Amino acid sequence: MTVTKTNESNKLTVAIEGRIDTTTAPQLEAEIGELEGVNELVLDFAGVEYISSAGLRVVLKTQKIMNVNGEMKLINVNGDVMDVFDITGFVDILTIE
Amino acid sequence: MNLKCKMIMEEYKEKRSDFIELGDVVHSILKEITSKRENMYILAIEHRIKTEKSLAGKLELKGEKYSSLEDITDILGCRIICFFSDDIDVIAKEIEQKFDVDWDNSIDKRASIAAEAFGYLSLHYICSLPFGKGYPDNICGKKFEIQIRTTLQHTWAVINHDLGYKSEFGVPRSVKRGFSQVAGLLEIADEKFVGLRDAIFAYSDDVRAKIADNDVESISIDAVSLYEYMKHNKMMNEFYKELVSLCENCEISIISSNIYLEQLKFLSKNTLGDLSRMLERNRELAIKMAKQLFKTTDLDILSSNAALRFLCRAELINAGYSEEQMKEFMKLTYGDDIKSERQTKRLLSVYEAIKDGE
Repeated sequence: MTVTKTNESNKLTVAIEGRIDTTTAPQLEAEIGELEGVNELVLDFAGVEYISSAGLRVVLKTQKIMNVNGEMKLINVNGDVMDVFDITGFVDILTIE
Repeated sequence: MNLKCKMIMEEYKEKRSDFIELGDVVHSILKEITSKRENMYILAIEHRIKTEKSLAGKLELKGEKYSSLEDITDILGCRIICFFSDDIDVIAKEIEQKFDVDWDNSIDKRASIAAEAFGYLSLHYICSLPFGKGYPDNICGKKFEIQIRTTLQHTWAVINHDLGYKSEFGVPRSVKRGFSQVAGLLEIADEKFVGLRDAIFAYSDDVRAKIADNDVESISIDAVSLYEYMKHNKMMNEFYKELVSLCENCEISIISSNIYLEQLKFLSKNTLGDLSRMLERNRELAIKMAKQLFKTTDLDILSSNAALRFLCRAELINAGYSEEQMKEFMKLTYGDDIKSERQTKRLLSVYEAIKDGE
């Protein structure tokens, strides 16, 4: 998994490529970091081909932080990953564009 | 500035780092105090160290009152802003447990204001960290101020302060009168908010009791009743357990069911009675759909909304909604046409797969 971060004032864009699974989820969590001072977070899923429960947990934890800090959205989510958000019911609380 | 005040300024510079450390410790304690209470709504916990400039200004104005830095009790100032006025006393009791309170210098503006007057209302405690409770010695015994107020009291105080009428002298009578009028309005509003919160709690209790007695037929679906039903209805809980058992070692992540208010309305479910019948009619298909979808995944986490998700989709099938209507329903969640169409196709293909397998 490769993570590319772009900072723009208080906006952070995290572009992810590859699989977010048990092995790579901790790396993603570390890359996203504490989000101090970030009030707009964009997770670009264009390159994400798979997400496991471990990856979901990282996304949910990040969403909880951003509920306090500001806004978070996921962009370019492919169909298979969207299905995972859908069947688990997490689509209800995530902003997916 | 006289020599005594200059010495106070020097002492401040020497001890500023202690106050910064004290501020961080006190802030953590205040956070702990307020977070452990269920149903306590806190807008903000804030603290600041008085700046050198601000202290110099204070000494210029009232220097004769102070003989050393110890006499100035707001070098560290903390503030808790809560939503409801009756929480002020709850927080105050916790503060009394955690800190040594200097009662001579603490003031309850709510009690001290004249009965016929309206104005600044807030509880100010002058506190210090007790020795021998595990805190570093360099920060124990140092006095600091904690203000506890509601959001409305805070709004009034900030506007009153920022408009520059901190001093009573020279303020036009009409302005003073205006601030008193607003203070009176906000005091009434604070009381009303407490009443509204209590009414919601009472409504929740009433709904919960009816759910326990299975007397839900006529209860309208709203945010409170849906929450209580999802949490306490026996039949719904059994359905949810069955759903969760389809994923091995499944973790449940609790999220708000409010999003389903609109979806249930779309499906013409207006009362908990309607929802109960929807559950009875669709339970079997909902479980089959979940089995079909979960069998190709290794997921071990579900949201608490999964039960409603599968029930609503089963209802779309069993109640004979058209494909167009299904897309409209999906749009409530997905927003755009492409995603809604994809989810509709997926729902229909899952249903076809279930039928083929029977």
